[in-house]
Amino acid sequence: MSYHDAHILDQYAYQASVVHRLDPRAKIIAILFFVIIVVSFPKYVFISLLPFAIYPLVLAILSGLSFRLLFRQVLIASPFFILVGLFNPFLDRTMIDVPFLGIQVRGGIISFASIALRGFLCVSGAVLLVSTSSFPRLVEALQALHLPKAFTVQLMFLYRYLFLLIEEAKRMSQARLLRSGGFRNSFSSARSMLSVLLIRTLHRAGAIWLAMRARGFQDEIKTARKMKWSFKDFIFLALSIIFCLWLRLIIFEQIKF
Amino acid sequence: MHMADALLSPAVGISFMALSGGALALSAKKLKESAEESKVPLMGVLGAFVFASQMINFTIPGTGSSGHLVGGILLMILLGPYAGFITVSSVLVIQALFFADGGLLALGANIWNMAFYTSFVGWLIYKSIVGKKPSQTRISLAVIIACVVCLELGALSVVGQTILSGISELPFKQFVILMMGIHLPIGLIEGIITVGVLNLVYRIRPGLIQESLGIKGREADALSYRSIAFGFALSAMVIGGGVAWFASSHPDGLEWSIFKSYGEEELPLSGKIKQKLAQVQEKISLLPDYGFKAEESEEAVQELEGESWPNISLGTSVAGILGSIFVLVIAGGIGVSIARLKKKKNAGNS
Amino acid sequence: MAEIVQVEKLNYIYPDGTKALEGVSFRVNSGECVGIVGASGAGKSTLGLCLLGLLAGQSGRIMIDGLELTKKTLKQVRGKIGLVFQNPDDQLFMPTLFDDVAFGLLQDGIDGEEMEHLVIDALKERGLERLAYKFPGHISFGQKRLASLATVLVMKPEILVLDEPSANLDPQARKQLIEHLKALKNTRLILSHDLEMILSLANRVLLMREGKLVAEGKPQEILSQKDLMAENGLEIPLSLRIRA
Repeated sequence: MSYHDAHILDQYAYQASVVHRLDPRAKIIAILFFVIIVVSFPKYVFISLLPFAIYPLVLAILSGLSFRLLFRQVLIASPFFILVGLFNPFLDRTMIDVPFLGIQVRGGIISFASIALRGFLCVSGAVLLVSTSSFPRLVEALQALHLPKAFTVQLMFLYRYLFLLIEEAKRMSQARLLRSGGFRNSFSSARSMLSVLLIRTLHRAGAIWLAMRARGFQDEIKTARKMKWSFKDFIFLALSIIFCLWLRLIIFEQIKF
Repeated sequence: MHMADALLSPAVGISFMALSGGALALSAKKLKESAEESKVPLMGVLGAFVFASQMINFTIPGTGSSGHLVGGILLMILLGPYAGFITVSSVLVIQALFFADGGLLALGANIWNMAFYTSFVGWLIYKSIVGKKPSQTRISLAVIIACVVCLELGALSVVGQTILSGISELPFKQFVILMMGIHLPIGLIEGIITVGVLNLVYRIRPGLIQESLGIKGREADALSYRSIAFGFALSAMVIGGGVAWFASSHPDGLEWSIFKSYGEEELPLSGKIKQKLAQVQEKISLLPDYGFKAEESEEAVQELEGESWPNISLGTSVAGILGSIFVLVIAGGIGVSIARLKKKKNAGNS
Repeated sequence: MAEIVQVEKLNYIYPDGTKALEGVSFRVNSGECVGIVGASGAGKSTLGLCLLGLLAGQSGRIMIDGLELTKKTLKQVRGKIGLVFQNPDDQLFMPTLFDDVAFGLLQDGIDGEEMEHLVIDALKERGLERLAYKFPGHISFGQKRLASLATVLVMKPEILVLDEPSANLDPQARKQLIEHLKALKNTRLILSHDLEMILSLANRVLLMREGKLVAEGKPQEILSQKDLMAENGLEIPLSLRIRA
């Protein structure tokens, strides 16, 4: 199921919208900043985190991302933090005052709720990043941000062959399952399929290598494309940073919860 | 297990971003220096292979997408430590973005936990065991031990990062026991499947991976499955022994011979923590369902021309896991699976 | 017409010892379109790779446009002769068509606006300029085929080698491809099973079997010989059978 979603997210990334047209570097920096600010809160904070949700939701609306898909991704990611945070209510019984409601709640419940909310916010950030810039453009942005070329070029290749290889593996697995009457793959047949897939992959890599050599490749991959910042990108980045800082420093100071 | 943004503090997150970033820069530099940048297309394609291999459906059901079998050791062997590190890191980037496995800030931590250890520590382990005398036994041993050690290190690191971040309330002792306990069978499974694939690929197309394994010439011609079994058993004892030594002070003691309880999955639970942990374990549903059916395995065996899976004898398997309940629950599960493996093998032979 | 390709006693042995090419010798004139045919495994693809010096351990003498193929002249030679691979997915390895076509130029040091013009022109010539920023996985096989052609033609090679160009193409895409190939002025070597296509395009045909060159001549003459075709696991093309 998550492969299906990955494919859909990838398709969203090639759409056009005002968000899509922003420089991917701006988006990377803005969303990373967003995540850092969200996790910078102390553990008994819930209400001050809520308004952060405006950011991903607005971006989702502007970029045309389906809310259902967004929530589904959050759900898929949730076991990693829910299962850990779930213990908080049982382990932390200090009573904390809740402002506005004038009651006392167990600290562990507040911190668990906070974890869940952080989870939602941070995963949303990642989803928006990948769905509003095509992956090749994201990689170009990483290159422009001076990440090592061996890493970024290799990421390009990974992306290029990702869905192709997944399809190949899917077909192989389905063919085998059909032959065996629908039973789950045994360890042994999984092993043989993996081995065949690996051999094919290594051959494919060899063919790509030859194709590259044939077009003059020697040892260093040379890339083009210079990215240019525009005024709109600066505005977006500035607004994003100001929004996060305002919530973190000013609003939080007022509520402290 | 992937680290999530929600459990991180900025200090821990950024620190690991810096550490992993530094390691990446260094690895890229090393690649350039040794004129191995031309490996880049191979790296990319193998990274894609990792995702494709997760389509081949026997991996652990439950925790969303099977993020566990990252194939770190396999990539380390096929690509070397530096290229392997870069490749596994990129796999993690794709997982974080497209598959909701891990997070953005957590990338630094995840790269450290899952790419760094397998690429470098794993490499050291592999080199020291296989050394200049590669053989089936040594290779199998090295791979399995490397997988287990590196996954355990990764699990330990997740615990460390979580505790240091201070967002979760889990106490160190129980969390460590849980994480390292869970990753022991996971590491074993990863090791077994990696060895299995390497062996089979070597059998079909030795030239493809000969160099990567460190085999020169026709040294490892004799593919003796006995020695694979021996390698497996040996590594199990080594691991079990190591863990047992660590846990020997634990009051609940150890169970070495696990297979008293074939197929026993329900065990008496006492104590609130143990109950909770058992619930967690059910949710994660660790152990893959191998789905052994005699007919299907027959076919698979025929296709591989009489190849047979190692004969794993009962007495040797992983034991000595911390905590009495975990020993019984996890070991019971392994016992069931291995017992089925043996049954299948016996069915195939007769 | 000057000879643009001279191959003398080309040999290649696979690492496991099988002989892929044995004593292959032939000439190609500038502007010619030569069809190289034979059963699967006859060595056609291997020959294509050898012409670009892509296989380590090949022996024999190859002259490309007056330049002898040696370790030192590899890059130069590859500027004169291009190879269109059988599987376009192996050739379109960049994330957009633009990047794929630009690849060769960039390796040659051609960048900036000049590069952009050349890329767009190359795509225009194949009718693909609308797809310039498309991901190769998102286009049809026929379009991929033309795109892989563009990636090679943009370098303006004197000689073009095509490995099974019409394989897996639907009839319309195949027709389109043949038209494109007909219109090209480059010297063309077409390695293929598609004998109908060879008939309509080639001036001359070379027949290979088990790594050796076994026949050479006009397409009509070679491809209509029943026994010769049968020996090589090939069928006389329909249009020749009807004429006969």
